Amino acid sequence: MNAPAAAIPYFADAVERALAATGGVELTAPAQVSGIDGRRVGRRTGNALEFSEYREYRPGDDLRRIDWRVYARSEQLMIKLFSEEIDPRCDVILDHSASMASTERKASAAISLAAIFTTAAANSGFSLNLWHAADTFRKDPAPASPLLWDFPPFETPFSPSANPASFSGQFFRRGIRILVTDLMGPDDPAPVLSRLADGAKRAVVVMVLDPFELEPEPDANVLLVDAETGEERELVLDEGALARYHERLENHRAMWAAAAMSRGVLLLPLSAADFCPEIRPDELFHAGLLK
Amino acid sequence: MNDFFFGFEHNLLLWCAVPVALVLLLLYLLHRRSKVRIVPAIFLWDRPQASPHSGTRINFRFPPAIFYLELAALLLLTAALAAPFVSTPETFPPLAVILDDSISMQAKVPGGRSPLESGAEFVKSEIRALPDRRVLWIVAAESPVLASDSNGRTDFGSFWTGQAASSELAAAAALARRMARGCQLLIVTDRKPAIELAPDTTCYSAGAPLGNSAIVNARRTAGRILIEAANFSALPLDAVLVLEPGALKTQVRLAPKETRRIVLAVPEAAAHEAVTVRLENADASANALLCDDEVVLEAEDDSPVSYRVATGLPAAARSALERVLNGNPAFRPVLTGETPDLDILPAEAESPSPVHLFWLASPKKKTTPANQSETAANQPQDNQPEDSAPSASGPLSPENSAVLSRGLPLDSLQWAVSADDLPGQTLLRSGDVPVLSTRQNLNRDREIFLNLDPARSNITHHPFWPVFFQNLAQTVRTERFGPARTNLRSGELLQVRLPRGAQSLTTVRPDGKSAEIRAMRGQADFRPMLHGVWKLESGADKWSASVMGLSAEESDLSGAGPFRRDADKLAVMPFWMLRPMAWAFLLLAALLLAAHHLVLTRKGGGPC
Repeated sequence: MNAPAAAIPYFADAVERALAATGGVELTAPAQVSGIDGRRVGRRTGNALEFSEYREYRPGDDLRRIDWRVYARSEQLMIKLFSEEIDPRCDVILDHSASMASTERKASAAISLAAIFTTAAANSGFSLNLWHAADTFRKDPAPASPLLWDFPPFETPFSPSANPASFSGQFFRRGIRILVTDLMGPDDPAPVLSRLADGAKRAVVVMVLDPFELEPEPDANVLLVDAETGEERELVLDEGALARYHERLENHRAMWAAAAMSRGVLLLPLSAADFCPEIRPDELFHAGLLK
Repeated sequence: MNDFFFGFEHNLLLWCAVPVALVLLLLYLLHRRSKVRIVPAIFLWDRPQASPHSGTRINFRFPPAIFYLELAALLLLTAALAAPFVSTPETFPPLAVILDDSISMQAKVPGGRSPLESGAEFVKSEIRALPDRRVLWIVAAESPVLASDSNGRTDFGSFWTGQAASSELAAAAALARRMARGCQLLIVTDRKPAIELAPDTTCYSAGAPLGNSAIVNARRTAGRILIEAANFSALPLDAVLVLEPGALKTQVRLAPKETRRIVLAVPEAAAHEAVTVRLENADASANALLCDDEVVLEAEDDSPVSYRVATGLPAAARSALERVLNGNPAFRPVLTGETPDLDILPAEAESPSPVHLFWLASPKKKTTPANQSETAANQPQDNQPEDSAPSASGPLSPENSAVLSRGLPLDSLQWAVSADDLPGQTLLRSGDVPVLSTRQNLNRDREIFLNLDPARSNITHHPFWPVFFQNLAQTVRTERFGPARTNLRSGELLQVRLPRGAQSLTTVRPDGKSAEIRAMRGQADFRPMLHGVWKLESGADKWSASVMGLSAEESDLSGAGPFRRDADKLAVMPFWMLRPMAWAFLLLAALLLAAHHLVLTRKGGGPC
């Protein structure tokens, strides 16, 4: 296997900036309860062997879980809870469509984000997979070592949402799945979000956009070229054109947000300016992804 | 004849300008090319067809109207540069009126009309007959002048005054043919022209062979005035020459057709002033011209030359200078604070004076042997004439065309040179060695180089020495600031040398009109035409020069006479008149640019 990452001149810089900014950062699990051996367990109770705690009986609870001995002592109906053990696993999926490199800043930010998530997961002792969503969906052999990634360039002519079938079902079961993408495809978000959320303990879509895509400025003649399809449109970017762009962008984001919410997927929009040239991961902490 | 044709005067320029226009167009297109932006989702942007109010689509395969407006304006400006013209047919060719401007046009008997007055009336009637015709007015004086090129103008009195000392009709006709090809000529004069008249030439003369007495030549020099008086009538003339100031009268009797030279002495009191000489003829009927009876003569500048001798000159040279300059009325020492006319210097150096005499008076150094002490070699050379080079290297040969070397006595003159060569034009040479030379430096200062060791020459006891300084005084006077000549004929070149730093010369004509003449390398040259005293000013310096319109040929009216010749046939033939059209192209380009601006304004935004 060759080393496509070498063909991306800013790759090493982006990775090094991410590693320098996220030393000691850990990935947050959906719930943190100290176990007997320090491994993460889930908040949802289940059939695992680990006793977690008592709580008062609420109508609908399984009568078999009432601890009658406690009732005998205190005449209170208490339910015995057991912690459901989850695997500390993480899948990071990086969108390699050409739109991710519409600007160098955006591509650098995407690389930095992937490096941050994988590093944080490794720091937390997660089992880790890094998936490159390129022409084929493939797993990186060294996910915890970003500088050694077998990194294909951002040249895939379609986004993951355009080809949900290729979105692999080989993710860790009951793990955390993080998709780094720009969501800039005209396709239905439901299939890809369903596949991402299916069997996951937590699914996150990190939507990274360039400032030009978020807030384009008025300009004279501009030839807009679609990064993936190559379609061209020659426009004068006056206030009217920009207003209509903003309206469509908001509708597009709202569609994805609604689809994500219905599937329990966290949609986190980010600006590439926060990750290139300087790393400012505050949004990731606020969203509870990192700690 | 309703046809016309269109063309360009500078076709070559047009072809040269087209590539320039193409380059500009290319730059225009490059400048207006769209910036390319890669976007991740083009579906979020307007489709060109779906932008009713803004976000206009620009397709360069079909440029907008603005593009065509700018392109047309650019092409029009390019075409305007090439001087477009329209050639339209005229019924009549242009008329070139040649006006004899010589003084004989003023001749008339008391109560009569001069040829100028009669000619003016004839010309006006001719112009009125064809009022829309193009007319070129050419004044035939000492040299022809195109005074006006217009349609129907008749106020030619401002430039036709009859003041010239001669009229060059042939040159005026040539000028007319050159200025308007195919034009007809109308010559107004006072006698039958000596030139051959073309078939399309009309000639009108209302002159008459009248008697006249005149001063036909005058010159002032060294306190004397030479007057040539002439009697051009058929009867003997008893006249009086009156010299002002002083009203000194000299009786003159001239036979018919006689011209006589008369010498008048300038009174001592008027030695440095202008004098007027007037020929008074009691018989007015025998004196048809009054303007040639009087002449003003300015004083020639013969004041002593102020000089300054530099202290660096050797003692022998200073002694030789004292011997020749002391008591010489042509020279005087410079006064304190005064700029000298002549600076005598030992070597080339800066000097404010107009003439510098660089006297290389130190004897040539002998080649110093290696064993000779340097101290001995540097001894003052004034005291070592016996160690110097030979006194002369060959026979002396002068360049007699120069004032400075004219008439120099050279017999038995012993010359000792101090240098092997001199810069500038050699005026005197001893064998192969230049001993006297001259040149003008960049400031127009006259530099004279004298290669002479006086200690080993007999020059101070030789007639050469005073004669040379007399020539030098004459040379310095001609190099002084001011006019080179104070008395000249109309039409002659007057050269005025201006003081250091002066940029222009102000001239005031005898009729009071003034003009500014820009100086070139400290000198202003012009040709005064109007008779009388011209005032010349440059800064604080003021001079005057007398311009005389004397001419024996013009004062002799015996050849004058009526003459009338009409053109064989007034040419009713196709004549193509070229009318420049650059203004129309420029106007159209301006309109297009204005429309371009309006289009942009309607767009409601900047250039798109």
